[in-house]
Parts: sequence; C-alpha cells; structure tokens
Amino acid sequence: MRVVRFMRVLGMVDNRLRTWPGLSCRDVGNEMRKEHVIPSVVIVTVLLAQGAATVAGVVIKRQGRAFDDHFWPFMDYPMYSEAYGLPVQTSTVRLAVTLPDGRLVEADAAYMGLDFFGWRYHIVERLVAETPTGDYAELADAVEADRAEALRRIVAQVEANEGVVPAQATVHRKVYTVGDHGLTETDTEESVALSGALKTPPDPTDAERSF
Amino acid sequence: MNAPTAMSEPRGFWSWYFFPTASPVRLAFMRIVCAALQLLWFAEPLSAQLAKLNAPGFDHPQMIVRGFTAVVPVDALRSGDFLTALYWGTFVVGVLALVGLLTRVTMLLFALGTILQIAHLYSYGEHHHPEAAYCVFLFMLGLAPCGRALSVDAWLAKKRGGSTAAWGPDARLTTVMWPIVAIQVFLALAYFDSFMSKVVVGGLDWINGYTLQTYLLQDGIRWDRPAGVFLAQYRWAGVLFAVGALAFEALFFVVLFARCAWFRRIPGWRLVVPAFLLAGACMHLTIWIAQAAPFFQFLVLYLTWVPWERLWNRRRASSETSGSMDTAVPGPGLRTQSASAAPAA
Repeated sequence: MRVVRFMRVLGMVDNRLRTWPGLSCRDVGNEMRKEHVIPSVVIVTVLLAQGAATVAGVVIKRQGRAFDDHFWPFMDYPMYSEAYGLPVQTSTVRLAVTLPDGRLVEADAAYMGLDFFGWRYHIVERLVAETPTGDYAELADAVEADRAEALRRIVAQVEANEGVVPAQATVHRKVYTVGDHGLTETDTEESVALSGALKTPPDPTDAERSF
Repeated sequence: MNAPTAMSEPRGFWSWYFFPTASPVRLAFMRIVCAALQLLWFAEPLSAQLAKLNAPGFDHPQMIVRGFTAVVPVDALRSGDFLTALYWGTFVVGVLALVGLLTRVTMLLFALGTILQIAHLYSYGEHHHPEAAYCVFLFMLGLAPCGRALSVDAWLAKKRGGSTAAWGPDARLTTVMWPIVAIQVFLALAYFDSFMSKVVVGGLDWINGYTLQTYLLQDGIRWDRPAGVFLAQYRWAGVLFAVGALAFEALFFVVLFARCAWFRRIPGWRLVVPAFLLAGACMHLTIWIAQAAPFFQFLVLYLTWVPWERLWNRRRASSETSGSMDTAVPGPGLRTQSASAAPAA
C-alpha cells in the first residue's frame, strides 16, 4: 500500500512538472509502470543520500567541524577546499629511528604499515607537534596524548620488525618555498627520545575491535 | 512479457527523464566497459586487502561494513580466508558479468563484492573519492537489464526464440536508461558538492592563485610530479586553474538538461555537453599529471553521455552496406547507392 501511495504522490509531482514551460516531455515520455517502481526507489534513495551528504558536509564544515566520513559511497567532496595565501610553501618529512646498536632505520609509511596520510599526519606530525600554550593551553593534554600514541606505535612497529626497542626517532623536514627567485629548499631536524614510550603501552586490540 | 500497467496518467517528467524507451546497447556497453576496467585496472589487489589485517586502526568501519558485520562476525570478515574468497568470488562473477552470463545476478553480486571490498579498505581511517560514484553505478547496473544486448544471455535468448523486442540491440525498453541518467545526476551532485566545499571553506581566497600554487607544490613534491612543481611557480596558472575548476564544478549540472526543449533553443547547444565533458577530461587529466590524483572512474562515467546505440547502428549499417557490396558485382551505380544509404541508416 505504501508503495502504491508513494507512486501516486510521485505521479502527482510528475503531472505538475510536465506542465512546466519548456520541458515538453509529452511526446517522448512513458507511463509510470510497475517495473519502474524499484528503480524509482533506488534513484530517489541514492540521490537523496548523496544530496544529504552534500548538505550535511557543507553545513558541518561551516560550523568548523569534521564531517562523518563513514557513509561511503555517499560522501562530501572537500578535497583541496582550503584556501592559502603567501608564502607558497610545502614540506616533506622523513622519519628515521635509531636502534640501540646505533643503526638507523627509515620508518616510512610502508615500514609502519600505514598509508601515506596516516603515517604523516597521525605519526610524524603528531610526534613533533608543538605543545600549545597561552589561550590554547587546554589543548596541551590532547596534543601530548596524540604524541604518546604516535610514540607507542613507532616503538611497537620497530620492535615487531627489528626485535629491539628503538632509542630515538628523528624527523627530518625539508621546506620548499616558491619565491621571486623560483623554488628554494631549507632543511630542519628534530629528535625525540623513545625510551619512555613503553612505560604505558595501551592494548591496541580492544580499541581496534570496539565498534 | 506481460503488458505493462499504467500507474500514473498522463506521461510525466519522472518517467520521461529516467525511463525513456531506448535500446539496451548503451547500458550493455557500459556494463562491459565498467566490468572490464574494474577487473583489470581499478580493483585493489588481494594483497592490499590482506595487508589491512595487520594494520592498526580498524576503528573507522564504514556503514556498509557495520551492516555486514551485524550479520557476519567481525573476525570472520577480518580473516584471510574470507577476504581471499571474497576477492576471487567477486572476480569470477565479474568475469561472468563482463561476458553477460546470468547478467543481472552476476552484475549485482560483482557490484556488492566490489563495494564490500572497498568499504573494508576504507574502514581504517583512510578513504578516497574516485570509486564512490563508480560503485554506485555498478550497483545500479546490477539492478537494471544490462544483459539484454551484447551478452551471452541475449545470444542464448535469441537461440531459444526470444523476442527481438526484448533481447538484442534492436530491443526497445523503458528500463535501460535509468542507471545512466541517475549516475549523471549523481556526478553533477558530486561536482556541485566540491564547488560548495571550496566556496564555504576557502571562500573568495580560493581563486587568489596562491591556493592552487600551494596545492600544486604540495602534490608535485610529495608525489614527484615535475609538472606540478613547474606550474606551482606561476601565479597566473593558479588563478586560471582555480577559476576554471570552480566554473566547471558549479555549472556541470547544465548537462543534465541537454534533453529539454528549451536547452535546444540555445545556439550551439549540441556543443555544450561535449564541451563540458572535454573540459572535465582535461581537468582530471591535468590533476593526474600535476598532482597524481587519479579520477579515472569519473572519466569512465563520462562515457554514459556517448550515444553508443547510434554508433552501433551506424557501424552495423555500414558493415551491412559493405557486405552487400562485397557480394554484388562492383559498379559505379551500386557504389553511389551504398554511399548514400549509409548516412540515412
């Protein structure tokens, strides 16, 4: 009954739309048939879901919050939407881990078993993030918690791969800047001691399967 | 086939737009192209699925995975045996869908298997956009009669004496265009979403040139794209690409109205759709060359605008004409007749 009612409503909207000037669909249109019911429901569902993702994405982003990205394949498209000014700049990072015997290990995304963005933004950038002070001091705990988690994951991965607990992690950063004289490069380096990272190792399996 | 029952009178916009009477060739062609490309190119290798089993962070399960694990235990989904069986099962039904054997069942299973695999990959915090519209289209193909032409099913049906009104390239059906039209609307929504994101998040600063310079530099350096690094050094390129991209994304929905009567009153309307598709292809290829962001699935979906049934008929007419020429004694009169018959067909 609901389907029939839905089709009647659709038919009414249909009849309204056909009278819109310029659409001129009388000569080529088809009657709404039984075999069109399921496709119509699919079309409406798919387009409403994508439309809802669009609207929700825009509204939520205007509020400065992150959009829930669990509804793939219905999702918003926020890539490259942030605006930048001068200087035109970017950086690359390398994560090197020093083992107790002095050997250096390149802990890149593949070594850590992560995709590039997860490795860079969940591990490397959190490892060397500045602790906020002043007006943003209340965020300091969150930053330190992220740093501790990044440390724990580095130590766990190196221990799994090399069989030893690493002593130190070093982040090498190369900054590229576009200026009046073309592209310039500058290098920086920041080291983090890893010896304290194993003091409070959380159990990863609980977190992984807790949905 | 039973006679269709009218459920609303008179004819209206919805059925005119989504359910026009058409040949099944375009849908069948898209089935072949999409299945082949998904099998040979777009599908993630099994190793990528298995590598996720050891990866941390299965704390972002997609809704599809949540729904699936409501029925099947998580441990079963996240096991090497299941993922291997899913991968090869999807591959086999994909091949069957490609050749068009038990097409509706195999295409639907192929779509569902593909969607589940990608949803699993995207349940670890990272997700990407190019496959979204493509997977929705695969799913809709599975719900549509995409095996009525260019398929083993159609060949078997004809062999068993099936009606040419329902099977083969000459069939005329009202249910073969809706996935094509729906995915076109979906694409327009996706582009408009991208436009709105830039307007809402970036605002007018998005077209200041520095923004795209920064993105070109970031991706050019990160993915080792010399073209991106080169273009990043010119502000005019940043402004030009930014304005072009915004205009394209904001106006792409225009192509959805190409069948409307008022659209056809626009001078040069025949060029509007090809121009948009060409601009989109150039945009995505530039993004790939300069920034290594592959949106090839979108380009494949552009093929839904190509009237494959007309090309098919034209090709068939020309081959029939040349066939009749081969069997006849060649002469100037026959050549003239054949040449004039081809465009008319």
